[in-house]
This record gives sequence, C-alpha cells and structure tokens, in this order.
Amino acid sequence: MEELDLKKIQRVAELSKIEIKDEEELRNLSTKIKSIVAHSERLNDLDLSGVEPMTHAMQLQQETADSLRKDEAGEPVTQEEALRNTEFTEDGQFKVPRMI
Amino acid sequence: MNINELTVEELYSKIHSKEIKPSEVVGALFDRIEKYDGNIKSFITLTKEQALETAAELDRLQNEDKMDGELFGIPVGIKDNIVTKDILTTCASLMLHNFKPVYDATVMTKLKDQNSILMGKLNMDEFAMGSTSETSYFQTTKNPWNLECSPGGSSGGSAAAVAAGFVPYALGTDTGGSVRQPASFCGIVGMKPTYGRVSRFGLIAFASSLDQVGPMTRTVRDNAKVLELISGEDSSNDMTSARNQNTDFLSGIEKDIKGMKLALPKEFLGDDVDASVTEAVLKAKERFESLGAIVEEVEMPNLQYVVSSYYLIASSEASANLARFDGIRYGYRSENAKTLEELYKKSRGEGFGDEVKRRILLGTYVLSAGHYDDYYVKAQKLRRLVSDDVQRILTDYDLIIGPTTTTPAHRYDEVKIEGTKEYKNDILTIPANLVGVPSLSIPCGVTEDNRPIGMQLIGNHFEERKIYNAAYQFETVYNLHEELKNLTMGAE
Repeated sequence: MEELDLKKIQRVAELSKIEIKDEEELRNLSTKIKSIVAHSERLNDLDLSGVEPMTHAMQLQQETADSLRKDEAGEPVTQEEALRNTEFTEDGQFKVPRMI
Repeated sequence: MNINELTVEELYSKIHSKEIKPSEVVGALFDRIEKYDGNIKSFITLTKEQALETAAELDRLQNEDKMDGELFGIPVGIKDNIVTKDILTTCASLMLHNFKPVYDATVMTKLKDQNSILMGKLNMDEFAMGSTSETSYFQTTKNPWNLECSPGGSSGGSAAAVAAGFVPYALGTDTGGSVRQPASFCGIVGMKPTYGRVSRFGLIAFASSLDQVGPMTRTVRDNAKVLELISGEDSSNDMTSARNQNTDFLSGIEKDIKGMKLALPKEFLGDDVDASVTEAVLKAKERFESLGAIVEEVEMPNLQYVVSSYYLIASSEASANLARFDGIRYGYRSENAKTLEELYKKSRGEGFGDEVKRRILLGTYVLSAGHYDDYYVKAQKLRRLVSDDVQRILTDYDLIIGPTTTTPAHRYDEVKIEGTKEYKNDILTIPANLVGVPSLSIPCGVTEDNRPIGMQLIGNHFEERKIYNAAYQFETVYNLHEELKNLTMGAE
C-alpha cells in the first residue's frame, strides 16, 4: 500500500471540508492516523479470500421492502422549529454567504 | 436513610409507599451534586428548574394515588449525545455548544412516559470518540473512586454520576465499549444491548452499525429493569430496531445457574492484560464455579485483529455521519468565512476537536478511491471472522466471560499512551459491537489503590435475559454497593 504522507492527509482534509490551520496541526493529526493505518496492515497477514464482508451487525427481519413501516403522514418539524438553532435566517430560510 | 444510596427499585417502593416524595429525592440529589460535582465534573448541564417542577407535579399525583409509570419520581442522568427537547445537547463539542434539539430521542420519550425525572446531561468524550472523557470540549471528569484517575469513556460522566450517587441510573452509549469500560472503571453495572434492541432515534450518530444506547446502574436488577423499559421496536428507527422482542429480563433473574456453561477465551487473559485484572477475573471464575456454573477455556483466534477492524469501520461510518455538521442549520458557525466553502471548512475546522478530526480524516481516507478494498472491505471481512468465532463459541456455551478492560482506570498523571497502544485498551469490548451481541460489565474486584475492575458477560443476540440471570447470581456473592456508599470524593 502507498505511503500516507502529509500531502495526502491535506487532500483528505479538503475532501472532508475541514480546514487545517497550520502545518503543526497537520503533523499532529497525521501521526495517529498513520499509526492506525500502519497497524491495520496486519490484516494483510490473513487470507481473507472467500470471506463475505459483514456490513451489518446482524440480519434483522425487516430487511425486506415489504416489512417497512406503514406510509402514514406524521407531524413534521415546523419551519419555526427548524430555524430555531441558528441566528442566521432570513425570510424563513437559512442564510449562507453569497454563492454566485 | 441516605437517598443517594437507594437503588432504582428501592426508590420505586419508597415512593409508592409514600415514605418519600419525588421532590425530596430530587432535592437531596441536587444537594449532593452541588456539594461534590465541582470535584467530579460529571454534568455538562443541570436541569434543576425543570426537575423541581416535574417533581412538584409528581408529588401531587403521589398524593392522589395516581402513581403511573415504572420509574415514577426516579431521577435519571442522560449522556449528552442523546437529544432532549429544548435542553442543551452538546456531544461535549464546541460544534454543538449551543444546540437545543426540537424533539426527544425515543429512549427519552420512553423514560418520560414512565415518569422518570431528568436531572441533567452528562459529560463524555467529544462525539463519543475516546475512552477517558478527556476529549470533551468542556471538562475532564474525575473517577469518584480515586480523583487522580479517569472514569473511563466515552460515557465517563454517566458512570461517574451513578457511582457518585448523583443519580440512581443513567443512560450511556456504546460503540466500541463506551458503556462497559467506564462502568468497569467506576465499579458499576453497564449494558451494551443487542444491536437493534434499543432505538437509536435521537442518538447523535457516531458509527451507526455499532452504536447502542444502554443503561448504567448500581445493581444488576436495576439494569435489567431499565433495559426492559427502553427496549422495543420503533417506527422512527425502522430499519434497525428489532421487532417482536421478548423484553422480560427480570422474571427469571433469580434462577440458579447450576450447569450453566461459560466460556473464557484464553486471548482475553493475554499478555496485554494487567496482573490485577487477570487475578480478579480468575477469582470471578472460581465464584461462578461455586455457584454451580461450568467455566471452560476456549479460543478466539481473531481477537488480535479486532482493533484494526473496529477503527477502520467506526471511522468510516463517522466520516459520513459527521458530514451533517455544516455550520449552517445548527451548532458552531465560524465568523471568519466569506464564502460557502469557507463556511463549511472553517466551521468544521474550528468546531471539531483533534480526536474527532482525526477520525473523520481516517474514515475519509479509508473510503476514498483506491483504498476502499485495501482497508474498508478487509475490515468488514475480519468482522465476519470475529462473528464466526463468537457464534462458534456460543453454540457450545451459554455465555462468554472475561475482563471488560485490559487495565483498571488509568491515572491522569501517568504518561499518556499514544497511537494504537491507547486504542488497544478497547480490544476486549470491541467484539460485542462488531458482532452485535449483548454484553454486560459488572464489578469483580478492586485494586489496592481503589480502582475497580470489571468483568463482562457476553451472550448471543437477544439473550440479555441469560446474561442478567448469571450476573445477578454473581452479584449475590460479590458486589460493590457498600463500597459505593463510602466514596468521599474529595470533600469533607
């Protein structure tokens, strides 16, 4: 597997939409990430061919479409409630910086 | 009578017999919190005003003999990643420092329906990522047994508050051991239920295929009772809450366990495990044998790989779940952003702490093109092998037993262990999350310098009843209730 360098971690931060403030922070975050990635190389010691990946903790009976809950209308969150957790609103909408 | 020493069951009967009023219970516990929580720092938010109002209303109902609900008048503390309507819910993060949810989590609704009284919201590692409660943006919680030690984490505030007698029970959440490890460090009882047993609606998601809400109590019976009340199918969490559950955990709890077969994996007592822990668990094995159980050594060969598998899977899921924190609709919003892109990046860069950022970056890396098969898929394959190991053992045995953690609580003045060594402490709790099976931690010893040691009992899917039965019987020969009453917590 390829080397995980600072440039790659910076790239991953861009993808994650997280600003890293300076090189010190980048280095600090990298150390642990690299050690976990290095540690997980040991999974390569195992012969995992033919093993089915496990995506869920267990098979629950409702994993078929016909056992979904009934399509009944409930009380949604109101517009006033949805906007309550930010002071940046205008005309009943969330306000963000100009995009175009 | 010291109200703070009473269990959920004792409070229930004393309130029902009108020996005490709900307002007396709430008042006494707030007095205790005010006296000691300056040292312990378990609560992020106290809801004293609302609690006193609710208690006054319940006093009136008590007077009129209208005491509905299995938790009538009984106080509770809730981990701060479970949403509570109109009450600050921070996940111990700057990112949600001002967030007041507009609805209650299903578990909260269920507790309110039983007339339990919310005392406040409890400290934790930021977004439940950590195992010491030190990554909290707000405060570092202390272990009531020994103030120089961590209470564990991520549900460290919940465990400390129960051990300290601030609340008779609390809810925590467990993704890789976050209920059981702090329960172990604080000498209390903590359950990670079967995946799907308890609704996750209103639990702020960390790793959705692993997360479960679980009760933290001082006794096994209290734990079984609270789990009965928070379990069940939930149409708001439709795809992953199990239907048709049997949620009677108490009726057979006192049955003897003669002939019950318990498996002790030899890897659970490997080289990484502290001598004090091994000694306590071997003693527990003898106690189980004295109760008539049969304990045999088994093998769990893939245990050594679970930490890698867990961190890859949990971080991947976290990177997706935490994408919702955008600085726009709720939570922290950077004041330094001029464009929308900057608003996302600066709000997230400033609002999340280091451990959270690390895991988001790790998860994003693992899921990115070119790495997905190398890491994520391999981690899921390993998850299958661990599941096969556990299922193979539970074909021949009723339960798996072993230590909850490799060491007792670490001291804050110890040199901080970094990197994967730090994560390795979770090795014994992770399998239950990967496999989705229930696991309960109960006290099984205390070190000479007053640090409790916990043992976990792991059962098959939906076999909490069997776990509680064995744990209850164990508790009849070993428990820490009396010791909990004597904790001085730095005051007086």
